[in-house]
Amino acid sequence: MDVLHRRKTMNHEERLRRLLHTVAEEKIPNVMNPWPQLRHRLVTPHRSLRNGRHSIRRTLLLSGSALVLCAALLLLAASVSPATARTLAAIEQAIVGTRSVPNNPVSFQPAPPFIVFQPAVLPQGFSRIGERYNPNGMSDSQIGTVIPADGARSALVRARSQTPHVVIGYESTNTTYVALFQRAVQPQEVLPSGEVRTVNNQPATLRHDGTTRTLTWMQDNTWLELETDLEERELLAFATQLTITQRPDTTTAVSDGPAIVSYDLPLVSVEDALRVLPAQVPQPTWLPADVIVQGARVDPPDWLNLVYTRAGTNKDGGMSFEISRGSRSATTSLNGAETEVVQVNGQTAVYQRTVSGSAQRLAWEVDGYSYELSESRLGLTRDELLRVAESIR
Amino acid sequence: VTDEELAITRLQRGDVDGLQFLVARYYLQALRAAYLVTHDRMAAEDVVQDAFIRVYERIHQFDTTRPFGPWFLRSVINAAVKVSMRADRDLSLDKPAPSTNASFYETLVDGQLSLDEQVIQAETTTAIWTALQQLRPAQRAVIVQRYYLGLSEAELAQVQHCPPGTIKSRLHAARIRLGELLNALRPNVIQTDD
Repeated sequence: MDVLHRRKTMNHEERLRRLLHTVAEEKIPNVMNPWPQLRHRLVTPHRSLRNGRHSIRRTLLLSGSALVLCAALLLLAASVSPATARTLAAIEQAIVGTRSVPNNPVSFQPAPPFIVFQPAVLPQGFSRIGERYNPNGMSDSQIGTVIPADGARSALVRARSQTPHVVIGYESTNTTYVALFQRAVQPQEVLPSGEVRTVNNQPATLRHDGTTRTLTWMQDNTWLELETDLEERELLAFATQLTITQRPDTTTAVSDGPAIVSYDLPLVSVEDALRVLPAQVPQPTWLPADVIVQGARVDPPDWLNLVYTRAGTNKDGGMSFEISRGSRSATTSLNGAETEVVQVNGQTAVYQRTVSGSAQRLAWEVDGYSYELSESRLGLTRDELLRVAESIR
Repeated sequence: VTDEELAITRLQRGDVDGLQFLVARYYLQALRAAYLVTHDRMAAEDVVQDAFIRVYERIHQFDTTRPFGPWFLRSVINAAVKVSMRADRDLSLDKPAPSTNASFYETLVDGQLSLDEQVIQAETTTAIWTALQQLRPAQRAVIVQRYYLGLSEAELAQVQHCPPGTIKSRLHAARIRLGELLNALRPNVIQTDD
């Protein structure tokens, strides 16, 4: 019996061994020779603060020139003939990669403990959709606010750093996005691995994840990361024209916790949100006790987010119901959450709950629209969340 | 003198190109191991590249009487565990969902395939991947070290600086949990040794 048990165990162990090798080889069949890139990192003197102040003057000169030139072009464009305007637009396109509009930079208070960069101009069609400032470096998950998770919006809420940082999100009308993440360079910090690039004479690395590109570099002791689904050429143009917009102010006290400084999609009443949408939008008809509607965010014509909270408490928790056109449920999830397939009014849905139980999410699709019901730190049960979902009419 | 010893000697003299041989020999294995622990390709690449940079910086701490591989892979796994624990603490709303899809469940309830046929199916590796992701990082690491890197329990005890009995119980607990997760995903793909 003991022999049989041991043999069975060995079979299982051997199978596990083979499976792990198969998984590993499937996930990473092979890699390009990493040596040139690694050697570049080892021999390039970009570590720590060694490249500190040497580029400030050059950056100021270059960015100042770009600003003056862009401003001049924009002023001229208003008073010249259409042909000249087209020529100027072409020149402008050569500078920033695409036609552009001036950007109105945001000022963070209290001033972050690092130099902040923002674009002098934005590619045409882009606008700043919001920014997050986390002065104490708490994990963004501790903020607990339920915000829609797409493009730049998701970059604003994603946990990215345990140090004070800012994230600024830009989106175009065709949902292309750019998220600009910044924090202070840490001692002995090195760039992440990736393809080697140069931004403003600083070494940079470019990484790909599907259509998402992330460009990372250090400039004037600020760690910068640009995440986008723009093409590389446009991404590099965006990175190159960033200019200093704010410097550390050592006299300003640091506030007690993280804050969303602004969010360009304002929270409005549900009635106001529904009024600007072209069609009747289903929404929950049942809510757990004490859970009330806090408001709505709307991005007509096909995106609505209803935000709920617990009445009479000041806790961070909330519930969110998001409806949007197209398939999105497969692209978002709660990291590390266990997944379960459930039914919501006859539709197959994915239910996820984090191991700690602090957040749960339910996503499904109906007639070409994605529905997502999520809850964080509100203390709802799985059944309550399902009941809310099934009450959507 | 082996090529590996030669490479380490060059490194200890400050010759950065001594690392090239070690990168060629260990990079892929280390990357796969780190990926099994982190489930994040970019994080795994960072972990491995940083580990090689540490090798370059701290090669003087390396005891040349010992084999390089286990020493290096231990530092990779430890770094991967740290990254995973940090990631587990953060709540991301932007990562792809674990690949538990309808076709998997259809296969599961279908039950027409023999066990061996099921094992060789792609869904099996998906199940292993999904189940691994749901283990705690430390459990993931011990599974990867034992079954992917092929360290014996004695070697594991040595690199983890703990008694063999502790490793045995950690492995047992990790296997039990992995078995539970796999059984939940698909009965009989792999069973625990109980």
